[in-house]
Amino acid sequence: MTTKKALDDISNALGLLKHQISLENAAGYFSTNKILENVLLPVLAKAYSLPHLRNANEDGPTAPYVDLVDDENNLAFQVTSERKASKITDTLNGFIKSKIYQKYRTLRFVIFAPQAANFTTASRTKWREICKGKFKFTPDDDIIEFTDLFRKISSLSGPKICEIRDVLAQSIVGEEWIDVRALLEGQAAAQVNREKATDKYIPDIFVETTSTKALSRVFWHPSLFFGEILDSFARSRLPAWNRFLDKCGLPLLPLIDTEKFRSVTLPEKLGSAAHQIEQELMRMVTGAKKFNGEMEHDALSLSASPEKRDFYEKNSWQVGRVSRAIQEWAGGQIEKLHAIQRRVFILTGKAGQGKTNLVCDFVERFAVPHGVPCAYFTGLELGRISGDMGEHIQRTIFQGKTPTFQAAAKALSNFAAERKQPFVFVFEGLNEHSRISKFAGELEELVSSALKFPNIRFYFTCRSEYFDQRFGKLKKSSFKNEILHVEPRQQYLGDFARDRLLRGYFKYFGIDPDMVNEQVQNLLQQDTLLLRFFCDAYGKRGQPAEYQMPVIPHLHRAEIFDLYLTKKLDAAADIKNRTVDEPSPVGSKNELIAVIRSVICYMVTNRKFSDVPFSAVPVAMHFDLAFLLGEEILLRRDPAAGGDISLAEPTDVLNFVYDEFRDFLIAKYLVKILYQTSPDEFATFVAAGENGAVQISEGMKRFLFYTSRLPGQLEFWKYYSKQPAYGEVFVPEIFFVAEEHLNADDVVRVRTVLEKADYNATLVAQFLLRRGPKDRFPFLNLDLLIDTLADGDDARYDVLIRNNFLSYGHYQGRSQPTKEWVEEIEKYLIPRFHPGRHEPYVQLMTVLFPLDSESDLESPVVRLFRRIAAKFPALAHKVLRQALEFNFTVHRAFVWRLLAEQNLDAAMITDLRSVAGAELGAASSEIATEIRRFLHKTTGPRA
Amino acid sequence: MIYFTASTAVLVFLKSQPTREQFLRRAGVRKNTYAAELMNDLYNDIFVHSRNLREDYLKYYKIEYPKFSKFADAFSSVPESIMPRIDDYFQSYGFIIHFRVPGYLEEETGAKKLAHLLNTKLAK
Repeated sequence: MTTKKALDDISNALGLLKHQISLENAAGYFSTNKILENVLLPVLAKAYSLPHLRNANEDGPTAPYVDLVDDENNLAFQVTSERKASKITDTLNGFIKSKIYQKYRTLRFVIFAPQAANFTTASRTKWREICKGKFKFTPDDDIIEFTDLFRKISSLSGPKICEIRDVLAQSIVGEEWIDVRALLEGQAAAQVNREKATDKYIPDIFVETTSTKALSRVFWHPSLFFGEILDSFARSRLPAWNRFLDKCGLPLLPLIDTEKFRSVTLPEKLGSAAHQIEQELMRMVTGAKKFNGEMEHDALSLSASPEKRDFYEKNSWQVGRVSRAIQEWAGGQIEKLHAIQRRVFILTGKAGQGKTNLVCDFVERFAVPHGVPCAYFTGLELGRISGDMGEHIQRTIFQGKTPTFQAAAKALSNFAAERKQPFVFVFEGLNEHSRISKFAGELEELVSSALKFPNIRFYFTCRSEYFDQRFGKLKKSSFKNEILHVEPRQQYLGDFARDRLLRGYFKYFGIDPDMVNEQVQNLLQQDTLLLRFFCDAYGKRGQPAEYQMPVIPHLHRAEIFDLYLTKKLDAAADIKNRTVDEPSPVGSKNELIAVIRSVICYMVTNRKFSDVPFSAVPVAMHFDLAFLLGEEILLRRDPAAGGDISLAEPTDVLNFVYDEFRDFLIAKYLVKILYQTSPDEFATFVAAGENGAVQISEGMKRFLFYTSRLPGQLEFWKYYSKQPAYGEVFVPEIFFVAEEHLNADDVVRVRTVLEKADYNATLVAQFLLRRGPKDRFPFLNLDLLIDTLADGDDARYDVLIRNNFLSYGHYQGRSQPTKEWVEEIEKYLIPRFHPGRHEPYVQLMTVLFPLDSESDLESPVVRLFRRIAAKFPALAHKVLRQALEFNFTVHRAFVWRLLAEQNLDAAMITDLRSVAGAELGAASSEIATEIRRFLHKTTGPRA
Repeated sequence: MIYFTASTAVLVFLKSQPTREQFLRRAGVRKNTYAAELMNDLYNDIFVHSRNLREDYLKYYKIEYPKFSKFADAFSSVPESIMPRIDDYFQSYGFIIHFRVPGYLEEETGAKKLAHLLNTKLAK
């Protein structure tokens, strides 16, 4: 090591020491003895060549004014962190008074204060007077500060400097001086980037699961978020609740003075503060519970003071409500207080709930910007190491600079203490470890040894089913009381969140929204898995630069799944090709397909669609299987159901990552292999599904349906379309079939569904409403809906139209569907309106007149129609006339009103007056009024 | 400025916080009446029990969310229409409060009343 490097290290170490002293001073405890023994004694001994320097405390309390002494040179040191002149004055007085000066002729002060001392001339004069004639004390030489010590060390020889550097390296930071900050820098961020690279973390699509994230914030940065907990006490409704209880004459709940904890920021004191508040909250909850369930109404009434009993009787219904509100509020606070006190945070959840996204988002946007020291490992990564896990971790972080995991944990804990923050080890996806049973034991041991260091914390994520089965014993471990286990509930996403999710996915995967039909976008919002596959299949991300995204007018589920499969197989084959030395003669992709086929074959043959044993895949294929399991590209390893956690080598099984994808592959196998090679066996399989002998999922039925609609599957379609399973999924799946694959049979089936006027009819009408006219959609189109409506009565109208435009109804799941329909027409249709091509939309308007109408027959669609009529009167007159031919009646008053407003030609007036005359007698009063209005308006010279 | 973020929740932007006395005066309620109690409770709902998003952001979330709009979006379902302006609002308004309105203020008349009490406008 060069002298310069050694001096740099010494400077850093002294700086760190200075920082540590200032922190400890702030906390009120200064570990003088530790610094004396471990740092100053060896450093001063080397710097000032005092080999006999020793700790004066060995002599017991007889040496109260000195800390280090050298009996050979009659030299004494007083070590202090105070830089006040009075400290020197008091020591000098004591040194003389206790006659220590008679033994030690020189007294030196070592001042280890964060700031430099600055003594006045008056103080120096005073000291000279005190020491006069007793012993020699020269402030400039005998008061040593950080800078003096460093200057002295710098003047030494190279080898001596290196010796001092080694002493500091071992004493200040840990076993060896380590620049923890530099070594940690970027480790977690690099792991987040790896997760991004494999698309496991998609930053822009993260939707906050607020409660889990709030708890995580507290756990990771307790000193900051303790303040927020205290704020919530200040905002609480406790005083109001107590006022109410007082009015009821019931005992008040104990209020908690949390403000006294405001100044607590040090990690070691936060835990105790949180514990005290938690205890008081528990007392409050116990008190509140008495008002809700534990005491009957009569008993409560009797417990109320007599003069307030009347108020209680009138408001007793509210007492239980207040009690529940208190318990709920206190429960939330207690959980946050646990996040401060506990040191092992375990987040569990079902597959696909976004645990990886949450962790990555949290590390990237919270931990790193806040400078919370952390290291991020994945279960998958830890599963690939062959040696000791602790050893791997300490080597990854410290690059061999620490001898053991314990030494690393100590260094990390010390580093965290300097920052007044915890150090957090993130282990994401415990279940992804390849040897879970062994891992669970190792993990317990590792956590247990690391928690001996006060500032170390762990943040784990794991799939729920794995955690209970394989890591459950952590909850019985020596650190069971340090665990905070969080399992968030499935989150409901509102319209706004779904829209944001869609936009986030599109942005991340490079999907141009203008290329995707709005109806398709609406459908994708409802199905996150399909959205993910869609983006993966069509997005620019990962595609060659010349890739042009096609226009997506419709959503074809089977096509999306096919594209997704191809992409994932290519990715796995690519990994394999980079791993093996010699390329496979049949191609890596084909070998991977063979593995999938063997799994599917097992499923179909055994009628068992989950938990496939590894033995289902021939041993020769296990090498290829590993590539599909590696990043959970298509398949994943699962624990066998009902496994005993005590088993040394539990059996793992295979499952597809996404069930819907499995159904797609099974359907493909059934049609392309089983039906082709053994139609009878296929028929048996389908029949078994019909009679319940085989649990054929909706997904399988759906993909069999799609496959039957593909070109080249006509024979299969002829057979399968006669099966009940086909009819079961026809609605709505027919609307996910490519336009060019539709046929006349579909029109008949759809019309039949519409005429039934049931729930499915509403759904079909919804799809047709979103489709355009005949010229774009030759089979299933808007015209079909209008035709079917025209033949129906008001009841059919309600099912097909009104139900789809109810607030919070079916139509796009929007809250103001009519208004939004009008806005869409104004935005997309009006600017390029063509009276010929767009006539069906105007016809539809006549149907929609009554929606959201006022008593004066005004409605959003009526107003829109007037705008069209002003520009295209002939078209307006035509569709109004046609609307009078519809069987249902709910729109007729509107039609007559609008006809009365139009400037009609004489022939049309004559025709309409005759229709009006025929209708008037049987019309409802509302329609009759409008007919009369029309007749009145058209009476006279014009008529 | 008052924005409805849902039928029962509002996001209120205020330059300053009215005192309780000013608020009750605007409400025109007489002391020791049921109406005064109701208005007192409303004042507490808005200024005591609800979070001032601006203050919370500056104290706890500024580092995590470099822009106020991102924070507000994550914490209070900000309507899309306000999003482009909310960072400017953050600069101009000292109080940004998200709270649930009591039933009697839900409808349009109630919303207008709330705007009057807070001496501000109802956003269109």
